[in-house]
Amino acid sequence: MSKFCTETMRKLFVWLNSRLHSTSAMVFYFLGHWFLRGIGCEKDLNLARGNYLNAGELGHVGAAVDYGRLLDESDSARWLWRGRAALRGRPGLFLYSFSKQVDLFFSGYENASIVFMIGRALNGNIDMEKKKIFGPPHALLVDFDSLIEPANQALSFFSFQTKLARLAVDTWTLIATRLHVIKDMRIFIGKMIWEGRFEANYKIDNAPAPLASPDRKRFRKYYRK
Amino acid sequence: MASHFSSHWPDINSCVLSKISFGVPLLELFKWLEIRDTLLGNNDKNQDIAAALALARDCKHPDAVWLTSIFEGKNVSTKEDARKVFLSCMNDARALCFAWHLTDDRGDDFSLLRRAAELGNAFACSV
Repeated sequence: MSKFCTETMRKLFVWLNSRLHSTSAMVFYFLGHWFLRGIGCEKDLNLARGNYLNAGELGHVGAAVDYGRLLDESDSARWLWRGRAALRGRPGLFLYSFSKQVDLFFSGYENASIVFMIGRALNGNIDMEKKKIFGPPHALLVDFDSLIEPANQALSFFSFQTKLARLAVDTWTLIATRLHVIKDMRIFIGKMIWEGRFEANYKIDNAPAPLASPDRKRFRKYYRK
Repeated sequence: MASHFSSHWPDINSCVLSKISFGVPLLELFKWLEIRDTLLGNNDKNQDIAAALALARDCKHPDAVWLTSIFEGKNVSTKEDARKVFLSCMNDARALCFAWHLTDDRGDDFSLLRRAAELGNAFACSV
């Protein structure tokens, strides 16, 4: 609160905060903007980031774009927000910059979690027939043919990591069931393994042979309802 | 991590939003924000007055209930019709704010918005 330079701004902030039920996303978005630019308050990148995040979580597309911009380039969450904005009609930033990240990854750079997030955002949003990525409005701005190869690479990487994470969960369930691990603990650890897929740590070189079609039927009998 | 990287957006289980008190249930707030964006064509939504009013009928957010009440029994599908309904409630700050939003040349005339803000409409102030 002390970050506000003027009493008027402080009052406005308090007043808007008391009416979040009817303003919400817009308030957070503008607060983010004010803190970023220092309008009526001291510049504060952390507060700007926090307010953009709040607005973004409420579904504000502009905040999603701006919050993504404020995150570090090495932060995979940046691509989560770019992907969200792309799905809601603002794919510009995503389409212009994702291929660079994919190229970096396949030339040995350690940005697997970013490529995973890119693949996750692209999943289900590539239309090969109509040659469109993320729907029609912006598709003509970027050449589809130049993007489809890195897009497919990211998508394959995402599918690969997801399959391996599923296989790891299956394997854990099998082991935990055999060892009579308490059900709640088994589920908790299984969820942790599944959430770990965002780190994209599974190595392509070490992929086990049955990866393409994990034998889920064989595992199913070990699941307990 | 689950909530932070949720595939749903906006996400009702968001750990960020769970720390904020909005005064209304989050689900109703999400519904209302979608209704408002659909009504006004904001936030990268296509404007669709009829769809917004249909959504409002199933929402319990106070502003959605109010919106449904002022459009009760009226056959409205265009933004001009909706604007007329809002302008018929000149003493209501919310109506003034929405009327301004539905004005084609609203960038030239802020009188409705200013009046809405003076009457205490928070949305008008945040615009």
